Amino acid sequence: MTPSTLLTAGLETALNRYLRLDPGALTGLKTFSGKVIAVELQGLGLTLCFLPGPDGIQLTDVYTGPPDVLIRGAPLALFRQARSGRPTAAGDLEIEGDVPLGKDFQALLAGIHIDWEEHLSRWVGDAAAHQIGKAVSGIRSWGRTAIDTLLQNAGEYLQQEVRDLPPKGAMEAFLDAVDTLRADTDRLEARIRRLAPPET
Amino acid sequence: MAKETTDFGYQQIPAADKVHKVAAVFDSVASRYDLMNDLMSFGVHRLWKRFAIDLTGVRQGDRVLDLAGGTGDLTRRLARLVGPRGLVLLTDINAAMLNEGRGRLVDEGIAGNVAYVQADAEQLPFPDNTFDVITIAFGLRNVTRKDRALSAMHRALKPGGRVVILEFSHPVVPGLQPVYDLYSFTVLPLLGKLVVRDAASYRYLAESIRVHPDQDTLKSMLEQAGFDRCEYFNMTGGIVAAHRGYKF
Repeated sequence: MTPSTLLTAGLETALNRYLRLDPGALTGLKTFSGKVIAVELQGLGLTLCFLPGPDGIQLTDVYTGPPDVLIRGAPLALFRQARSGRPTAAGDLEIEGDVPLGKDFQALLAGIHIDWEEHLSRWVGDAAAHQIGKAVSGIRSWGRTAIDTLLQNAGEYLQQEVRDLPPKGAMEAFLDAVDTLRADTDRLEARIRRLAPPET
Repeated sequence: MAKETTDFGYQQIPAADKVHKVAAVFDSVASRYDLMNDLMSFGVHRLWKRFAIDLTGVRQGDRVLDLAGGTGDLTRRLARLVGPRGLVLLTDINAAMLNEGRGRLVDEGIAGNVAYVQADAEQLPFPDNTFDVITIAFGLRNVTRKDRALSAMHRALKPGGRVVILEFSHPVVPGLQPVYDLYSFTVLPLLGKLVVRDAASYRYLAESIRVHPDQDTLKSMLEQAGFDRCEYFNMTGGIVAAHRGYKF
């Protein structure tokens, strides 16, 4: 038995417990039945294969066949993508194979919504669960506002006061320009290859 | 001519009787088989089975024979791995165990790529070169003529196919044997008595493990049956071992 057997077994149990908290996510999994979604964690030398089915996801790090889709990226970029559902900077992730399948699966994971209040009400009753839910939601909202304000103030200070960082708009324009340059270089390379005399 | 005998735990019995005696054991424990496995192994049997499945290298579209598959623990995971284009045949010699497995898998919505056959591992009712993978988890120990079963598996595998045998074996970690013996011969029958009201079946389990071939003997039996690149992997200090062999 290898450590990866223990790791995948633990991950699979945790993932399925989490999925079962949102009945909508389990229903959504049915559409992925029979598919193999591989996620390669760059830098760790680990590829996890997700095999969804009606009762949850089967996870393995040993799959010898070709997956339907392979998503490759650094663990942090993959985690950020799965949590937010928003695309990260170009080049962070690579998807091979059935790209729409990969995107749909990622959207399913990002869209998991757990009604903690409902689950809590089974243990402490509706009224108490509602009060606890309201309190937690208030704390979370205050925390979010505080963090947003802090980030905004820090960002403005670094971008506009000391000018250590570029403004968001300029950064996006720069990334777009890099993407355009990359595409232009690829096209130019293809054209040069076409025009170059064939090797003998 | 002397009557052929075989082991049934520590007893020597006529070979023809073993199948009936083993059937009686499993008829008695079928309904609480999985619960007992969890209790006896502290849930670790799930990891052993998981590792055995990893060794099979099963992929989408494969045809898999899960011999002595009982309550369908391996088939459940194998069915997902072979996908809708593949097939898993869950077989067991014991009808009670097979019914238990079929009922459970159907209840879990696992259907379409799983079929059920009551079959004797020594006389597999399948054509030559049929399966990509054959698995047998905690079943070979109960087979009367293991050499015949291994030959039958070799015959039913496609060239390039592999067999994975998961079975109790012999501890290799120093100092583990006395603790394991104490556990097997005192705790197991007691658990059997409390949970399934059948201490004798679990005494048979402990005895049958002791008379089962050790790691190297089983490996050489696989080679004699025609398998190539035979190897084994010890788990939990050798209490369980997974053997793998290829047919080329």
